[in-house]
Amino acid sequence: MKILKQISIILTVYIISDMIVKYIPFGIPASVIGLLSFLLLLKSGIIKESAISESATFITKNMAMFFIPVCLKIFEDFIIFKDQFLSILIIVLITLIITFLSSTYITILVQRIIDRKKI
Amino acid sequence: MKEAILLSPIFGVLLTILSFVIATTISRRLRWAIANPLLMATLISLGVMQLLGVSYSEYMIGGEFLNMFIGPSTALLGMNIYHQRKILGENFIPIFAGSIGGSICSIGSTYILCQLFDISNLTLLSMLPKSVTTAIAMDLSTILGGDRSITALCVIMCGIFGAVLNPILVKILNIKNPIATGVGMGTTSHAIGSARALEMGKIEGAVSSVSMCVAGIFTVFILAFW
Repeated sequence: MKILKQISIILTVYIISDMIVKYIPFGIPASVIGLLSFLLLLKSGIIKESAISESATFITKNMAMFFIPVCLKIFEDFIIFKDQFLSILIIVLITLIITFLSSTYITILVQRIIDRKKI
Repeated sequence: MKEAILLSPIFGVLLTILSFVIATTISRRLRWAIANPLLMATLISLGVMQLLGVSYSEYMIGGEFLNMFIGPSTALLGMNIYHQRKILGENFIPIFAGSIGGSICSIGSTYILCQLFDISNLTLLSMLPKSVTTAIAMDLSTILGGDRSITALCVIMCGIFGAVLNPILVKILNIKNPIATGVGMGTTSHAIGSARALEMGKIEGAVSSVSMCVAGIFTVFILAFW
């Protein structure tokens, strides 16, 4: 019963986020609104952590599994985009490395600047 | 026979769960970055589908049920952010700067490379929002005048390849900073990267989730005024 109660709370928060999305003008998805909602609800104490903890941990720990259906779609799409696939793949891989390196090293750089100011 | 088993909604669900269990077990034994559970599980599912002659749409009868949980599971990353709120608060400015800098580099490098590769304008517009979470990227693609299916393809590629490649880069470059690693994972590979970051550590997971949101929202603002 405990798990069912927890899942009900989680899905209720998500479905409300989904409703909120329909009333805001720009394209912020329900998952991001839901994430902010959980953060606010936990921080304000409206939802106690024990009210979702076990189910939430189980779901987030196995989160990668929920992406298997969409990943399979890459192979489905491969046939449709055959002509462009190789160039798209190369661009994705190069920009991925550039984005990862820039975001990681900017973070390290800014951390160092702030640390230096503290001293 | 085929109809009875393979077209049951349970088939898609069972295949997905089994593939994930097998992939996770192998990945824990091997401990190679390339043996990513999501990538391996996808390949196992694909192999079984090919072997049994199940099409994607047949698989999705059940697969859709698990697909539905992407939203709630991403939202639950909020709990991880809550757990790590202290360390996140202390590093708020670096995380913010890294996510925004990374988003600008993502959009800029995509634009330049598309020009170099002589990519059509439609594909270019569809690729620009590729580093952010699917729902944001798809809406932006429509606003820009791109093709939603190309965008979806690029977003997923960014997610899965980032989940595999980023940890390898972390190892090669010997980055021992969980905050910076998290920012990199979330900015490049959105929720798929955050799921992988969570496997690397709690701080990485929480930072990655924050970066995913910051990068997503910031990308909306840059591209909306494109």
